Order: sequence, then structure tokens, then C-alpha cells
Amino acid sequence: MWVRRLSRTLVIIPALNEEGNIVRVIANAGQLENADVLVIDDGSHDRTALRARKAGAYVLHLPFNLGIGGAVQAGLKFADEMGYADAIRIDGDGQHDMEEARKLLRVVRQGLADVAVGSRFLPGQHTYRPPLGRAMGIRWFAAMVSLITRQSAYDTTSGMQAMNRRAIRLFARYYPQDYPEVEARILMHKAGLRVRELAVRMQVRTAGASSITSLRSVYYLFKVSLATLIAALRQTPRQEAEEV
Amino acid sequence: MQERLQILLIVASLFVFISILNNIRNGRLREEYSLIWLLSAALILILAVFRGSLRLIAGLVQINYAPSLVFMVGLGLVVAIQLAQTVAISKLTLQNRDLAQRTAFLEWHVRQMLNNYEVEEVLAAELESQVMLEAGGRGDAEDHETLEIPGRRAGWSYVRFAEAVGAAGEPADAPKAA
Repeated sequence: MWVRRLSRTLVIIPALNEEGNIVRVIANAGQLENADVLVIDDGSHDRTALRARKAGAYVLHLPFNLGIGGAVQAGLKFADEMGYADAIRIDGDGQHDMEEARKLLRVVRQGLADVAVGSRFLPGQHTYRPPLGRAMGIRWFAAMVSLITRQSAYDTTSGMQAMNRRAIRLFARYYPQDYPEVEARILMHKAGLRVRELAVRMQVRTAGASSITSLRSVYYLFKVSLATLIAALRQTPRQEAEEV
Repeated sequence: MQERLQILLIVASLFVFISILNNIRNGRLREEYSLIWLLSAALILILAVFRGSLRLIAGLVQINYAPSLVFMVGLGLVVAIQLAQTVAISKLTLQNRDLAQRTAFLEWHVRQMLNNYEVEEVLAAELESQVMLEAGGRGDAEDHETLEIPGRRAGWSYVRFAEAVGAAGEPADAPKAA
């Protein structure tokens, strides 16, 4: 009934209560060549799923809120099972520019990296100045990841990532739940995936609220640090990635 | 140890035993989770019945007031049970997440299939099921085989389904001891 999307790209957009942004984000993502747009509605209370469907996107409707990690993984499992060649994750709030997405996808398609991360904090190419508290958190995680992976990492919390089938396979099997990005970097390293950061511009949110409030950020800091250390100590998922 | 405390502990652990066994018997508690509870109750029962053993162990770990060992063991068991439960919950959380992702994926497939279905076919299927409902139980499927419904899907119909299903609701051509 449907063909496997062997040469196509899946745009993965996790969305929670983004009815104000989602139509525009889908329209933007639709500009990408050879791509299908998949919105994962992570148990929204508004009309995110309905609007996304009407805007022509595929919609995965999660029956309850799983958190960003569970939502992204739902998209990656979709990409894996439907046989997409590569996938790119962008945020549902319209912060990510499609010109930049193309750049990341190009790197992955040319085989220069298994995962291309859109980075805001490459040295000399800062595209975004976060407030002091957040900047310190970002530095902390970057230092942690750099230390564990013995590679320079700058933007470990970026939600804009392009990945090939190897990475999709890995994350379809295991992906962290709550705030997945930092821990995922450790997993990529342990699985032997080649990760590259590329400088990207990101826009300021136009509607809705960021998922990370100041109250939650302390919890975020501790939880992610702990999860990252545990991930560093865990058995390597290397073999799983090699099976592809 | 005072007799009253001993009696109380024996009665309490026996009560725990009986209620656990009863729960397993009724299928409300799975054996794998009940094991740690049974062990706890057994341990407390042994300590309560054999007062000498309590004093002996208390002496070994240098506890002056032997009955406090009972509470220490009890506390340790509660911690162990809590840990076992947290492990069980973590496992359930993962399974729950996988199920949620799976249902979302399947729902997408169902919607895709429904979208591929032309409106006429949906109407035809509805009409067809109406006819079958009216003919229900009479078993004269012959009349409906010739029923002309425009746009009906080839290869499958309610009539063929009725033919394939025997009186007992079993597929007629299914192996007997499948």
C-alpha cells in the first residue's frame, strides 16, 4: 500500500501545545526537498494535531504526554520502520531555519557525519547569546560531554539534528526520556557514530512558551548530569549500531 | 522479649502470610512480586517464634536490646520491597512508553488506510453491513451474493465472511486441533 521511503528524508517535529506555531513550521519544513513532515503530538491539550493534519503533515498522536525524548523517539521509530534514508529533528516552535536544516542534511547525505548537530555556540560563531544562568548550564554540559567523549562539544542541548539510518536505528532502540540531547551525545559517542556540529542561526520564539522554565532548570541540571554520567558508565550499544 | 510483643509479631506476620496467599490465589498479586513479601513475613515469623535466634543475632551485631533487631530487620525489608517496586515501576514506564508510541504509529496507519478508502466504498460497506444485519441468522447468504453494490471492494465481503465462518464461529477450513 505504501512504498518504503528509501531515498526520502523525514522531518521530525515534536510538538506540545503548539497550535499557534505548528502550521507555519510545517509549511517551512515542507520546503525541504524529498522530505515528509511528521508531527508528533505529545499529548497536547489544544488543536495541535488537528491543525498539523490539515496542514498536510503526518501526525503521530501520542495518547498521553511522554516528554520530548519519548516524542522524538516515536518519530525515529517511525523513520526506522518506514525505511527513511535520513531524518532531521526540528523544534515545533519555529526556532529553526530551513536553510540551516538543508546544511545539516547535506553533511549527513554526503556521508561526512552520522549525526549533524545545529550548533549555536561554536567558537567565534556564536549565533545566540543566552542569559547568564543558561549560559553557565550550557558550558557545564559542553564541558561534561567534551570530557567523556574526548571531543570538543559546544552545543549539547540543540534540538536541531540531522541523522542517517545508523543513528536512527540506534535511537529507535534506545533514546533518553526527559531531556534527551546531552545524554544522546554520549550514546552517539559510545555507538561509534561520527558527530559534527555546524553553526546555525536560530530565531526567537514567536508564540507559546519554552519548555524549560527557570524553576525546572535546577532539576534539569541535576537530572541530566546524573543521566549523562550513568550513560557514560553503561554498557556500550556499539553492536546494535553496527547491525545496520 | 516480652510475651505480648512476641504474640503480636506472630499474629501480624501470620496475617501478612494469609493475605498474601489469598491475593495470589485470587490472581490479584503476581507470584514474582509476592516472593519478597513472603520472604519478609517468613523472616519476621522466624524471629518472633524462636526467641533464642533473635538474641543470638542481636548479640552478633552487638545490639543490646534484642527486640529492636526485629524493627531493624523490618525496616530493611521495607527498603528492599520499595526498591523492588521501583524497579518494577521503571520497567512498566518503559513498556508504557513503547505502547504509547506503538498505538500512535498504528493510529497513523489506520488513518492512512481510511483516507485511501473512497467515500463511495465507505457508503457501500455501510449498506452491505445493514443488509447483513437484516439477514442475520437466516443463513441464506445466496441472496446477497448477487446484490449489486457499486464500488464494492473485490476479494472481501460480508457474504464471503459469513461463508467462511461455520455455525460455531470457527473458520470452516481451519485445522481441527489448531
